[in-house]
Amino acid sequence: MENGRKQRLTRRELLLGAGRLAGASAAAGLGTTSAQAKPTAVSTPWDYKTDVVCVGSGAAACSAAVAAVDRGAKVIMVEKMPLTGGTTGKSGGVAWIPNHRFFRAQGIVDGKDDCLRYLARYSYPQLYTPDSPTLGLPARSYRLLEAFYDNGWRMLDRMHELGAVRFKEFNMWVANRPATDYADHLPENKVPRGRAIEPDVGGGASIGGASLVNAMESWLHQRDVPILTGHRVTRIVKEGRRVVGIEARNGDKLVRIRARRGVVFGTGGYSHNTELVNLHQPGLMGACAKTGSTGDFITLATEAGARMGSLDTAWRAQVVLDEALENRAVGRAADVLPGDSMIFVNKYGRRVVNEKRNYNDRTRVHFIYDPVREEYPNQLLFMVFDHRSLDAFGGNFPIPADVRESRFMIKGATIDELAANIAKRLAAVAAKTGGVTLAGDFLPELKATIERFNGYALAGRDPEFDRGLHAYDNDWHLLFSALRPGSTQPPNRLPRICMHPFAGEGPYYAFILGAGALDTNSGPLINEKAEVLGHDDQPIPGLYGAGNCIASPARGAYWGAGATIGLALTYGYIAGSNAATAPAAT
Amino acid sequence: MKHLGLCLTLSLASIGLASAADAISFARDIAPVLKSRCATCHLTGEEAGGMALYPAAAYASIVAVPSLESRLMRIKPGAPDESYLLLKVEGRHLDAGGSGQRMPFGEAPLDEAILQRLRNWIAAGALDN
Repeated sequence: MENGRKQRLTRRELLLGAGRLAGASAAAGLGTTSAQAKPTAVSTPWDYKTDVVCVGSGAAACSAAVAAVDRGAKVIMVEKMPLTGGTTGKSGGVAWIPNHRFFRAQGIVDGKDDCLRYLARYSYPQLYTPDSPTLGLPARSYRLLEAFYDNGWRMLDRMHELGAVRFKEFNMWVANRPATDYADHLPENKVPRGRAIEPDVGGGASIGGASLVNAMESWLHQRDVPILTGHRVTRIVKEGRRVVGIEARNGDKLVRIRARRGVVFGTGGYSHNTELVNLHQPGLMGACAKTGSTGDFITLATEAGARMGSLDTAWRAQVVLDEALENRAVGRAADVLPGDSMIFVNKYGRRVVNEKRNYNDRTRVHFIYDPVREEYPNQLLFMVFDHRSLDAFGGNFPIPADVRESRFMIKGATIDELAANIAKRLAAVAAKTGGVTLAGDFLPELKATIERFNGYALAGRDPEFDRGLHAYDNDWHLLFSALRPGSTQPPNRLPRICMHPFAGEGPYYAFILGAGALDTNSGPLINEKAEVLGHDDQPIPGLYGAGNCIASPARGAYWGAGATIGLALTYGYIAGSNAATAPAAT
Repeated sequence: MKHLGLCLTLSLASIGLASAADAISFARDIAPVLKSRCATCHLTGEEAGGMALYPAAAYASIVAVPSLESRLMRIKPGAPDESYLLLKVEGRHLDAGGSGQRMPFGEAPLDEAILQRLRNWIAAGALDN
């Protein structure tokens, strides 16, 4: 027994989810942190003692916990929300892992040098130098990419050996083909398909993530790893430089947990902390992240002396503006957009991007600044489509299968009426958008844009933005523009399946799109061992981070489907392994 | 005699129905479904939909609580066809003046056995048992 408490806690005792969760207060701002909480006396006893504390319960924290247990450590997990799973739990559970076991079994070579060139070129296009020893990157950034490549496939193999979670190749569900990387067309990408994997059991667009975390949680439960839900960490406890534990709040109760070897944070990003969003993000109106993603680790780690890395990056995706204005915790982002007789235009009625580009890169077009007009001309974009796309692709978000489903779809019997109705909607939300209005010549420009697009669709070539030129556009269109059951629209037989001329007659439809995210992926700096770095650029002993709560090794790039979870699992594994084998605090 | 037989049959049937409905427990039969199929997205009530569907909070979040999308209650005790939550998972919500997609969002619908269980629980008074 330690401190008068049982060392081995029953599940019933530990699943203390009855207290009000702290996320409710945290979502309103920075929430309660150690800056506000009274520091406890050094002599205050610990409620629990363990080797490694893992904070969070998504892919990063669960992977860390599995790795730590595998190395012989005792582990306690701490989760502030009333249920486990994190944002991983509402995802598709796909993970992007280079050189994985399925490639090797098939003799597909996904070599390190080539893969690192793809990662570096995509993440740091402004620095990439192919003949540099670090490919032009700062050494620390290069080592982070290197560690991801070296450890990702090892993590996957070990997860399989342990039976913690098993994966299979992700074949894009109904599209039934290896998943195309998000920059498949870059010459540095030598293996542009097949790196994405998904849980072997319970895979699926909306359920794979739950299967992933449930599998790891089940494995941890079988090994008597306590998971404290409804416990929000409020302070990282240090003795000198060394992190020795955490304090958490469970309702009004203070809980202190000593971590002899280390604390690993996998607590997600800060998408739902509007103060941090306004300070650091170029635009993030809504996010898929769970409401617990309030950037707690940024505050906690800062107080523990951590140095921040990039604070302005995110896994970006567009959101339906009206939906995000109603509630920024959206059910789904407008990620892979359906429709072939569909385009986006800005307030000037002009297309600004290949509408079929991956959601991360496509969303960045919202941040382009016009230094002559002194504005962001693409701050809002208008997804315009016709009744053909509504009929053919309804049921693929955001195009509804039944028009009654969507409160936010704008309609017009003609393009003229559609434009007028878009203007009315903008006026209604002006106070929340900085007063975006349509340009005076929006209507004639929109008509001209549609006419040009119709020509591109017939010719099979988009000279403005290369829509349909590369495999990504067409492969992902197949998955997310599935023909609606009951539709009588014929298949698209034109040269590029993702482009089709608009119908000559209405009705026509539109959604207003804004910049959003799956979650942010910025925060404290880590090194290749997942150790959090202090202001002196040295590791803070005993403190580790993984997943979206730290400055992502990917920086602003999204390498392929599951890059989010692939990084979370890999760096969680690195963190847990290193924490478990670190010298114990005396 | 025939009349007595009919009464007896009806009585036995009523007992059977009452037994089936009484046997449904919110904690055992309904809350786990809400937890596993709904609470991932509707966890704290801060999300779209405004419902906290983890076990300790679910009952208070849905029973006799107005829906945000329609004029109906989320669960109206004793009235399954006037319970918006049930209509939403059955895909009948649009006909009741609601909006949004059928729930669970982006997943296969709840299977018929679960839907019937939910319906029976509501019909029996939507007890917190």
